[in-house]
Amino acid sequence: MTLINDRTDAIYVESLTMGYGDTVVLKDVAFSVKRGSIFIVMGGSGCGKSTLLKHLIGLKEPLAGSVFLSGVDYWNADEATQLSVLRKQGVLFQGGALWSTLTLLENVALPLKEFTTLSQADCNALARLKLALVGLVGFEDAYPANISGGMKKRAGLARAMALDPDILFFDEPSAGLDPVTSRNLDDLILKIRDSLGTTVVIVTHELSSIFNIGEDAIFLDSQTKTLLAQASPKTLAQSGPQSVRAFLTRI
Amino acid sequence: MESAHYTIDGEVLRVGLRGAWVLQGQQVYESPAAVLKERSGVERVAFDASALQQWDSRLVLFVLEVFQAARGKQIDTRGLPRQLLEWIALTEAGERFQAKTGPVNFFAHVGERAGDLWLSLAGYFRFLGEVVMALVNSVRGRAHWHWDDVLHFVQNTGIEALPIVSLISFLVGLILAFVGLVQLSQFGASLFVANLVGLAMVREMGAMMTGVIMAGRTGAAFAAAIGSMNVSEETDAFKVMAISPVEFLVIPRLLGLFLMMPLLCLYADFVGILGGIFVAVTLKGLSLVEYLNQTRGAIALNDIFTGLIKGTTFGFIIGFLGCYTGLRCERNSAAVGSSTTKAVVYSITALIVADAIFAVLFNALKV
Ligand SMILES: Nc1ncnc2c1ncn2[C@@H]1O[C@H](COP(=O)(O)OP(=O)(O)O)[C@@H](O)[C@H]1O
Ligand SMILES: [Mg+2]
Repeated sequence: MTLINDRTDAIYVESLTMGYGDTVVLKDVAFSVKRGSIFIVMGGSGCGKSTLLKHLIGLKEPLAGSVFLSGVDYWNADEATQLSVLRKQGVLFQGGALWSTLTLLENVALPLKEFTTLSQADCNALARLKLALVGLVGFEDAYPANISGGMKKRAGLARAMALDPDILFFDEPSAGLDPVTSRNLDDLILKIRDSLGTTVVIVTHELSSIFNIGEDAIFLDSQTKTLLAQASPKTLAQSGPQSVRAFLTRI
Repeated sequence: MESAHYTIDGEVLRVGLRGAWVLQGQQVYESPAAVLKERSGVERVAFDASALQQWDSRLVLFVLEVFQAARGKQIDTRGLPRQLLEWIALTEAGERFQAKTGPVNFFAHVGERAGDLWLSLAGYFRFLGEVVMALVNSVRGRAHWHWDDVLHFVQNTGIEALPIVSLISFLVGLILAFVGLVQLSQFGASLFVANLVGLAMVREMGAMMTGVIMAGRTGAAFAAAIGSMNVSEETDAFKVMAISPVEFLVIPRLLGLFLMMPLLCLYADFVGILGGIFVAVTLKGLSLVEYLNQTRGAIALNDIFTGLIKGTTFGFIIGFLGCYTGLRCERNSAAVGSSTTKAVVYSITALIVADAIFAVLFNALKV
């Protein structure tokens, strides 16, 4: 299976080298994410999945190479362009990263207030809708400290979706969730993609999620510090490189 | 151009959606509720999205506004984009998770506040008890804390505070001397400024100023450090390992402060007197030897002791309140800030109250 990479894809990454200071974490990474697809980033712990994610959401600048987000060469664009790209992306952090002094409703309404011209009442109404979308009706006035881990993830998702992003990023969404809750979250992600056409990028090593909702995937390797393979999870499990198959078929 | 165009067709109100209905844009439209109120006789509401170019959840908000306004009427959604209907269906699926919260009753609120006050008083005593128990455990050799930590706080609360204590005490001594000299020189009793500065520093100002500095510097630091540990569940991590946070976190801080406060007070007294000398001798030309002799005659040993007892008590109050507000800090980042503020305000208030009690006590005991 050959993939035709195109700079106008939702995400297009070209000879990307990443690291902290002098230590290189991953080198020469290249892949692309098709619009509207569910894309999985996998690999062992410490292989640089979160690091890669930071490069895709504008938190960390590459050592070398380029990242094209919605057709924009992000790290060579001017600040206004960068901001408009970021506004069309949503990120669900590993711990939810909800602002602890705001209620769930205020958490979701904040980006709406900052970046739209809607009235306060409309912002709140829309925030309520987004919370309903993730099944959090009745928890609008709860504080993040007083809800469960699964609910924090869902609230984080509602906040990530506040501005109707084109691309949603998830860092280990199922970490710390029970299998049923994590399955529900997978279903929710799938539904959102189907009805809103959002491109979804998920960092995970949860096998059930990978096979349930993953349509395309890359595997990162900490030994060679490279991207080992890109294909659909099923293809990778059948005919991927040996170490990828081992990863995907451990039961 | 208006983003929503209303046309009446018999008993049907047709809502024409036009242009881009997106969050990042501007929409101008007449409120559907107003339109429906104005035109009675409408039985059915239908949509027409043929002129709609682009949409996102901004449109969902508007469509729901129409639904709300047209309650009790027939609503024909066939004209809406299919995905938009799915979007709305998703939010309704979410209603299943609905939970209930009731409005707060006034009396319940008053009762709660009264209960809170009692709980907070009870909380101080309980914490005092925990501290005492931790000390008892320490004497029995069963407590989890280390002298290393105590030394850390000795350094942190004592030695590192020397510059600021020096500066403030010197200035206080200097101010006392200036104010005193203006009055005393009118009676030709300038030399008695040594009594004034010496006694005021040793009995009152040394302990008080050190206390205020420590409340702002150390009490706040204790509250912030322990409070943020509380937020990130680090104190819980101690508890589940059967380590009392009071023993591990509070005792070393209290001991460090307890050891350093008397020394800092003595030091403040000394520097304050130097401030007095600076004014009296170098600026006003009194003799250094006479000034020193006058000071020695003015200060008795029990004056120094009263200052030290106060200083030590102040140290305990500051450490106690700093650690207490830190441990009781709620689990969010703003709470760390407010518990730090509380630590400082409560400490300074408590210092002044304690000072007043000491004044009465020492007067009664004639020391
Ligand atoms: N802030 C940082 N500074 C230095 N090195 C880091 C930093 N964050 C991560 N690393 C290193 O980068 C590598 C990849 O980390 P990470 O991307 O978090 O891995 P993963 O998310 O795949 O578990 C690790 O070796 C880690 O030690
Ligand atoms: Mg990670």
